[in-house]
Amino acid sequence: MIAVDSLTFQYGKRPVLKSVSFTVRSGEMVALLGPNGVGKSTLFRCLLGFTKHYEGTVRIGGKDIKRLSPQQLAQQVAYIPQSHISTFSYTVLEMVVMGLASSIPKYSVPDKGAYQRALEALTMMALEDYANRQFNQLSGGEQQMILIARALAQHSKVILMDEPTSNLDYGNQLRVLKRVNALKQEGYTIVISSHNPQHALMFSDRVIALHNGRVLAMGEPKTIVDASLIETLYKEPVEMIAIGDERWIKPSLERMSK
Amino acid sequence: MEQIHILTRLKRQKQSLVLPLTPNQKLLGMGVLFAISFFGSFCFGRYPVSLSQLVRILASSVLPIEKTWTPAMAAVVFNIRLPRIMLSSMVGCCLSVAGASYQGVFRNPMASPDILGATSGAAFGAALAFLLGASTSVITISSFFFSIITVMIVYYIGKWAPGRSVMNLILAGIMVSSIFTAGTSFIKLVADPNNELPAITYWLMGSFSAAKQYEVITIAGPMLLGLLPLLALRWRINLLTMGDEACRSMGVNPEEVRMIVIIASTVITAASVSVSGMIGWVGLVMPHLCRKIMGNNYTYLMPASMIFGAVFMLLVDNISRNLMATEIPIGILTAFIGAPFFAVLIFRRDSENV
Repeated sequence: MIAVDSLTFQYGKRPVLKSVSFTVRSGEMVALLGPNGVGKSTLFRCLLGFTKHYEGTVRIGGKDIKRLSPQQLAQQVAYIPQSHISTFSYTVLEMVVMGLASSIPKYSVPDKGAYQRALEALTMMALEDYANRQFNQLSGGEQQMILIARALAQHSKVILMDEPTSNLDYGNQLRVLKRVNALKQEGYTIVISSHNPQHALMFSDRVIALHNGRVLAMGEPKTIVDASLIETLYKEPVEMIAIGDERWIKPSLERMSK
Repeated sequence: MEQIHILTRLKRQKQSLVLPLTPNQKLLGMGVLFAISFFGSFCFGRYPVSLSQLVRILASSVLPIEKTWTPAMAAVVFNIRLPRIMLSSMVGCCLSVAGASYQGVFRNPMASPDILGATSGAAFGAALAFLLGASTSVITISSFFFSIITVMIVYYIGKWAPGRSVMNLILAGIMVSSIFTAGTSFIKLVADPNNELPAITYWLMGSFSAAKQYEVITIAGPMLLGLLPLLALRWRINLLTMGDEACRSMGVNPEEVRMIVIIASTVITAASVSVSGMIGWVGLVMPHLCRKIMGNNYTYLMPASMIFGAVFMLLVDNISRNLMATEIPIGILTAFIGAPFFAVLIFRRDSENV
C-alpha cells in the first residue's frame, strides 16, 4: 500500500532522513518509534505531500505521490494531526464535512448528501450527538475523536496519525487507541507515530524504529522491541516484563539513579 | 433512516448562538432588512420623498403610471439618490466580504481589507492624481491601479521571502502600506493648500456625495468579477482557516485557494476604495457581527457579510447626509459607529467562539 524507497530529506544543510526505505502492507498497522527530532513528523510531511523537496520515492497505492494532486492524494491518504487549534470555531458537523473536500467540486458547497456522509462518519465513532456542538468547546480527547471521524469521512484507506495521543490524559489515550485499533480491524491501513513504545507493543502489527534519520529496526513488535532498542532510541535504561502473553516496558529506576 | 431522523433533529436544534433559526431563514431575514434599508434610504434627505411617491416614481419606469410628482422629485430619486444608494450598498457589501475573506485567508480575526495595503495604495493613487490635477474618472482609475499594484508588491515579497508565506504577507503588507502612507503624506505636504490639499483630505475621509450613475455601472464590473469567485470558493475558505497542512491533507491546494481569494478580495477592495475613498471598520466589524449571528461557516458567513455590509453602509450614509447641515464624511462616521460597536462585540464575546 505504501512503499518508501531511499527517502532522503534535509532542512537546509541539516540531514533529517537518510535513505529511509520501508513498505506498509494493506490493512496493516505500523507504529513509528523514535525520540523527538528524529524525523517522524518530517517523514509524515513527505508521505502527505506537504513537501516535495526530498530524494527517493514515495508510492501510495502504486503511484508516486509527487505525481498526484492534493485532491488525488487525499483520496488515498487521510491525516490526523496531534491536535488542532482552530482560529474560528466550527460545529462538529462542519468540521467533519471538511473531510469530504476532495469529493466536492471546487466551486461548490457541500450538499445534503455530503452532510449525510459526515454524519455517518460521526455515527461510526458513536459521536452523532456531538454534531451540533462547537469543536473548540470539546475536550482534547473528544477533539481527537472528531478528527478521526473527519479522516473516516475522507474515505481514504490509508490513515496517518502523528502522535494522536500526545496531548491527551490517560483515559483519553486509551479511548483513542481503542478506536484506532478498531479501525485496523475494519481494514484501514494505519501508520501511527508514537512517543510511547508500549502503545506500539500493544496495538501495532509492525514497528519501524527511526534513529539518527535512519531505520534502525523494523519488524513485529514482539521480535524487535526489547530493552536494548528502547535504550538506544530514548537513552534511558528499561527492563522488559512479561505478564501472561504480553510484554511491558518498565523504566529501570535502579540503573537510572546510577 | 435513523440518520435522516438525526439530520432532521439537528436542523430543528438551535443552529447558532443567537437565534433558533436555520441559516437560510436568517439570510432571508437579512435580505428583508436590506430591502427595507435600501428603499427606506430614498426617503431620507433634504428633499422629502414619501414612500408612496417613491413606489410610484420607481414603478413608473416600468409601468404606465399617472405622474403625481414633480420632475425635480424624479430627478432626485433617479439621478441623485439611486446612484448614491446603489454605490453605498455595493461598497459596503464589497468591503465587508473582503474583510471576511482576509480574516479566513490569514486565520486572523483582526484582519480587514487594508491588511495587504490595498487602501494605502488606493489613497496614494488618488492623492497623486489630485496633485496632477486629474479629472474624477482619472482619480478613480489611478486609485484602483495603485491599490492593485500595492497588493502585487506585497504578494511577491511575501511569496519570495523565506519562511511562512502567510506571515510574510502580513509583514510585507505592513511594510509596503507604510511606504505608500508616507508617499501620501508627502503628496499632502507638497500639495497646494488652497485647492489640492483640501480635496485630498476630503477624499481620504470617504464619501458618496459625488456618486454618479456611470460610476456605479463602471465599478459594478470589477466588483462582480471579485465577488463571484469569492462566493464560489466560500466553503473552501473554511479549509484555509484549518491551516495549510490540514487543508492540503483534505485534498485542497491552499496556495491556489489563497491566491484566488486574495486577488478577488483585492479587486473588490480596490474598486470600493477608488469610488468612495478611505472607509474603515466595515470590513472588520460586519464580518464579526455576522459570525455572531451565523457562525463561522463561510457558506453562510459570506452572503451574510455581503448583506450586512450593505445595510451598515446605507445606515451610515443616511446619517452622513441627514444628521447635520453639512455632510459628514463616511470614514469619520464608520469609525464613530464601528469602533464602539466592535467594543460591544468584544465584551459580548463567547471566548470559545471567536
